Amino acid sequence: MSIRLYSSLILAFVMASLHALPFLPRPERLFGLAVPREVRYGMEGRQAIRRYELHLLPWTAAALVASITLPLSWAAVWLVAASLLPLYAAGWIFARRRTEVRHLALPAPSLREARLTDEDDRRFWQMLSFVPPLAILAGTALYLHLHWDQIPARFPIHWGADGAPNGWSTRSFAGVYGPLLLGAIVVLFIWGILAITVWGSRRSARHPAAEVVQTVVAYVIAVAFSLAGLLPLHIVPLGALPAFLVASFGFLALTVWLSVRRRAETGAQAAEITPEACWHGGGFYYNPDDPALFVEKRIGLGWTFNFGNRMSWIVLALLLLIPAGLVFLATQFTKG
Amino acid sequence: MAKRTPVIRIDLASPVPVYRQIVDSLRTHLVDGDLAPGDLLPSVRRLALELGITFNTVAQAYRQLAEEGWLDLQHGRRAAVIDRHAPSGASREKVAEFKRRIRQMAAQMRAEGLSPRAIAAELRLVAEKLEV
Repeated sequence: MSIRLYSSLILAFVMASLHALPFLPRPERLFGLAVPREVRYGMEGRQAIRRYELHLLPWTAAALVASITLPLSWAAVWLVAASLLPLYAAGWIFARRRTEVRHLALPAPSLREARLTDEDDRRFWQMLSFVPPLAILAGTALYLHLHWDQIPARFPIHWGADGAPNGWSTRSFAGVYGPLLLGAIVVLFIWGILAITVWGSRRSARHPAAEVVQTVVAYVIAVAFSLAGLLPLHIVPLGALPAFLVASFGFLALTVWLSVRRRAETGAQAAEITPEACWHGGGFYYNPDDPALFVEKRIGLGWTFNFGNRMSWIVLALLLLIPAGLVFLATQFTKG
Repeated sequence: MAKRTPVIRIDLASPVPVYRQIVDSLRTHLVDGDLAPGDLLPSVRRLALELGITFNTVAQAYRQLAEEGWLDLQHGRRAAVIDRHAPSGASREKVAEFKRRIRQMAAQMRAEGLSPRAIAAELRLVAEKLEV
């Protein structure tokens, strides 16, 4: 029953996200097209969005019904009816609405402007906010090193639902420092993503809240991995986990809210307008004449690669290699 | 009151080459004092990125201004505005060339539909700024 409940909840979240898709980007975007704000909020814009919502609704209902009623043993049917089919339908409906409103798209403006400041060049070297998370992990490592003799030869690292330990580690370099090392790599990975996006994207494509989220996530990860790193000496009470999660999300929500409010006070940047001809399907950007590595996404939130820039391919390869390396390290540390 | 950050604008549809537009726009900020000696300009890469143009175009503009004595371009460091000593006097040919350009600009403004009164007002503003 719990598996069905969880999978239905995940499906409900996915479908809700698909329904919210037209509202996620800036107000100057309509189904992945750059349009004037008054068009987006005008009759044509509102009608297109309404049609998208109405056409998606039966698929959402059908997927949820299928998710609740289909026997769990019909895994393949379940996957198609409650996952692939609604996703495909949403993509198809989105593409249809996009074609309908294509005539409203703005041409790429020939006027460009930039602020004559070296602020963005300095920021790359000023991202010292990532030092404290690394210091937390280093401090935990130092603490473990100083109390090395007190660490038992074998200690629990995982507990079952009944509270009895079912996973163990040993007093070795990998066993004791492994979680901290993994935490440091994850923090450095997030720092790398933040640095490369600041370095390779236009000011107008960035949102300060995104940078705040990345920084806060680095702090949360450092604390979580430090707590895991202390397991050889101290067993973290199970009740502390929900409190930690609530505190983390609360901290994240607060910082994002402050960041968004600050942006509203200082005035939002003008939306980045990239040539329509360089967007393929609204999501794939290819412009060899644009030096940007990342551009603001037309659909959804965040950035996407400029696949016309060779450097973007190198960054993409690195981004894929690092998580693969992390998984490899994790399997090495948890062996035995 | 905090100093306002100067902004550079270019028009990709203009017949004037983009590097020329950057040079002209930057020179205006330098002459007007929006950029003072010691101020650092964005790196070539950053300005090209923000304007969505190639690095070479910005580099060419910076080099031109460095040759005119406005910028200090040292390898590995960002372009910095330097204290420029204006030449004591322009040659007769240069003066004639500038006069011709002003007349051409006024004619172009007329051709684009600006009234003689508006053009005169704009030129007066420029002249008043020069006398301050």
